[in-house]
Amino acid sequence: MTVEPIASTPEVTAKVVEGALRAVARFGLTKLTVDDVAREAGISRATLYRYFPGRSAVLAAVVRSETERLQRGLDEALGETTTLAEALAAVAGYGARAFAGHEPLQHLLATEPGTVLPHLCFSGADTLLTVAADRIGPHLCRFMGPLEARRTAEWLARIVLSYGLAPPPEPAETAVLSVVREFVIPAAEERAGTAGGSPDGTAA
Amino acid sequence: MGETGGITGRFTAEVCRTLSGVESRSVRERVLEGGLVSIGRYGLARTTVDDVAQASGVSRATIYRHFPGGRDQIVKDTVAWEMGRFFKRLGEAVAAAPDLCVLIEDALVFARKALAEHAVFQRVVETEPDRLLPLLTVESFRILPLIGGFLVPYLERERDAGRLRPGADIGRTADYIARMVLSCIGAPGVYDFDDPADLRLLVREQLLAGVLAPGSILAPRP
Repeated sequence: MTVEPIASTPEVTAKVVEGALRAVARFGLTKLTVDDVAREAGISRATLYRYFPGRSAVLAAVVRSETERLQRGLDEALGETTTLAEALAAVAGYGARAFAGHEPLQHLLATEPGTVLPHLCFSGADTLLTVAADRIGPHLCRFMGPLEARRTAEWLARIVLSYGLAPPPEPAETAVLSVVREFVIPAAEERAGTAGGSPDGTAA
Repeated sequence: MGETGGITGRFTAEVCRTLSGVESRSVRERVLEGGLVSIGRYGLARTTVDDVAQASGVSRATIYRHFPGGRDQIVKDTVAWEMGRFFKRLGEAVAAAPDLCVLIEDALVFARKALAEHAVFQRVVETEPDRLLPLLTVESFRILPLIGGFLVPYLERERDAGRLRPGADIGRTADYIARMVLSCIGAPGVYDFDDPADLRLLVREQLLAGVLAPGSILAPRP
């Protein structure tokens, strides 16, 4: 007998997503059960099942919520920027922090990389880069044409991904910001004809 | 059966020596080649030492002497060895490029094509990405300094011709380009490497735009 799932409330969804992220950071993905999620979320198994009928429903909610959270974080980071240099540094810095500071992701990379790497390499990376171009590109349109904005957004995502997956000796955020300031910002400013913001990404 | 394999292997080595006049391949290389053949046939998870013995013509006992870790070590070492060979071929294919822009453009085209035509890679990345990708990621830590080291003389040539941005540190620049080349080989993203105009946008307006001094991007090859 199957029971139709009931549309979750924002409160329950938030509890479940947070519980699931904690559970993944503790137990990984391969052995993750709905019971683990319910326990971490502090709700009963029956309640969880009423709203999320199974593991894949829970994980889909996590992906949805994390995507929205990243988009909000990016919007916030970009909201305070006025120059092209600031905007590029803000995107790269936010991306590097989000990648390195994401506990469930880092736990999976360390303990069961096979579960996440397919989403971060080869065709998985292509998808991710296209999403980055679609999501971040529009934010850069105030400085350049839409096609170049897509390419520049994609490039920042590549840098974040490379330094996130093969971390350099220094913290990834430091490394990412320094290569963006050295190798991305000056050329982007020259192309956009807006050179003049100071090269370290702070306001001129 | 191990003995038959040994004879076949010795025969193959003999033929190779006779045909090419070069030193026979080492036992280790023969095993790794056998590993590659077996992985292509059975995949990373199901390849056994027996498969490798059969494919390489090297006996089980000899294989275990060279690879005490057994099948896991053979699989891991085969991936590392093949990745090394891939980048060695890539380096040879582009070594004569007249400038850095052409070098990177040729490298990306060659690498994408070689990857698309690599039957074993295509099979494994399709059917066992969860097993392959951790091995490739671990290997990328070894490969990045290799690509970077390969790039250094080309960067020095650009610097000596006054085409690098002032104050550029060769080592840092080489590491950055190596990372981005590896990224582009794995995932072309929004670029189509078959379209020369797209490739130029990628290399000249993105990848090397921040490395070469403004105005130093040479006209593309006619």
